[in-house]
Amino acid sequence: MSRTQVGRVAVGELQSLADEQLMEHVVGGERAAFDILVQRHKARLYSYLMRLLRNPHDAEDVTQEAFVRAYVHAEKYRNIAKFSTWLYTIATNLVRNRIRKQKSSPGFLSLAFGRGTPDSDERETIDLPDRADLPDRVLEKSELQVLVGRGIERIPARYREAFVLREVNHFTYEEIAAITGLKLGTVRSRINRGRNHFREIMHPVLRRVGEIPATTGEGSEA
Amino acid sequence: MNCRSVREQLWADRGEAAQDLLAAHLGACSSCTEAAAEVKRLRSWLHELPVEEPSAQFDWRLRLRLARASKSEPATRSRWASRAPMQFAASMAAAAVVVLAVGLIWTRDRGPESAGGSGPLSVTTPGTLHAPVTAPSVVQVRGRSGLPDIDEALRSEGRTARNDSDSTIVVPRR
Repeated sequence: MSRTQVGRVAVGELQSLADEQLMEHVVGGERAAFDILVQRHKARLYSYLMRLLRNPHDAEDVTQEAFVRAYVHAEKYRNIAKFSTWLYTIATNLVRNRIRKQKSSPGFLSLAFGRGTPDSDERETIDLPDRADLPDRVLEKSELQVLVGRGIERIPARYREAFVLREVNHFTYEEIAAITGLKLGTVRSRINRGRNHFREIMHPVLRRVGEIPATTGEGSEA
Repeated sequence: MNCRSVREQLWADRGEAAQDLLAAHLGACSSCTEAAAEVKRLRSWLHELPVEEPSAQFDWRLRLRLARASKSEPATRSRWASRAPMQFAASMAAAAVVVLAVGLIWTRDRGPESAGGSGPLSVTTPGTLHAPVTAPSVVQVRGRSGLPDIDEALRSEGRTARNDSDSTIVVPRR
């Protein structure tokens, strides 16, 4: 992309542009265009990184670093992939580097709640509060969301990445292959394994919900 | 379609033909019907997960980082390319400090005020890694006649002028 390709436009007009068009304005030197991209993507990217890193401070730091790199290297962006795919590729690589560094540091403590390693294939299930502690009470929607979040966190890291990209962030298989740098077949296999893990992890919650059908809250019943 | 292939397809995005085959199987298999209901429920929970927002300080912190990054790394230059000149300048500064120190010692030792005395010869260098290429503010020379080998002395001390800020390097007498 050349710096002279796009002319300056009002912020209001920028809002209506697609991400990829905004990137052309970023390369043209319009900082406002980048601000719009940040506002569009920061929450979803942060959520994704929270699911991978399980630490708000790290997730925020990597989110910012990903945006900084996207801005600094804006000229390297080619409009053959969606901006979001490019941004998530940067972020995913940063996460991998961070986890690699943490693993090699002497004080490394497993990220998997102290049980196993992030790559461990060990299957865990969710510990529900004892039924006696919750007599005749249905699971609140917010409680359920916490359990689902914990369930995702317990999927082994090597499957979690692809699983979250597909089932939470709704990227296509091809986009996930581009983001993770994996072959399409590997992506499919990892997503499937992630799904199986998730289903097994969530089994106690499913059973509980099955026993008390009204627990999923408004609109969440399948 | 058997139970195993049905279970594998429960999560998948299916075409209409596969959907029909699946429905036919589910109509006749209660165990797969239960599994399909579980998958559907899990999917709905995943879809309903809230998007988490970063902290309130996120925006200004990012602004700060972007400002720093664009100052030090213009978009057209790579990180390495932008750092290389700084490293070069730092090396040159350190080299200049050493050369200047040697020159001053040599000049004083040859001058009328040079005194052959006892005790160690010490050189105080204000050099730091990022010091600008200027003469050091303080250079003290005490000691003896002859040309000291500063580099050798530094090596024998296991120190370098680049790493020590305001350090006094003691050069043993010859």
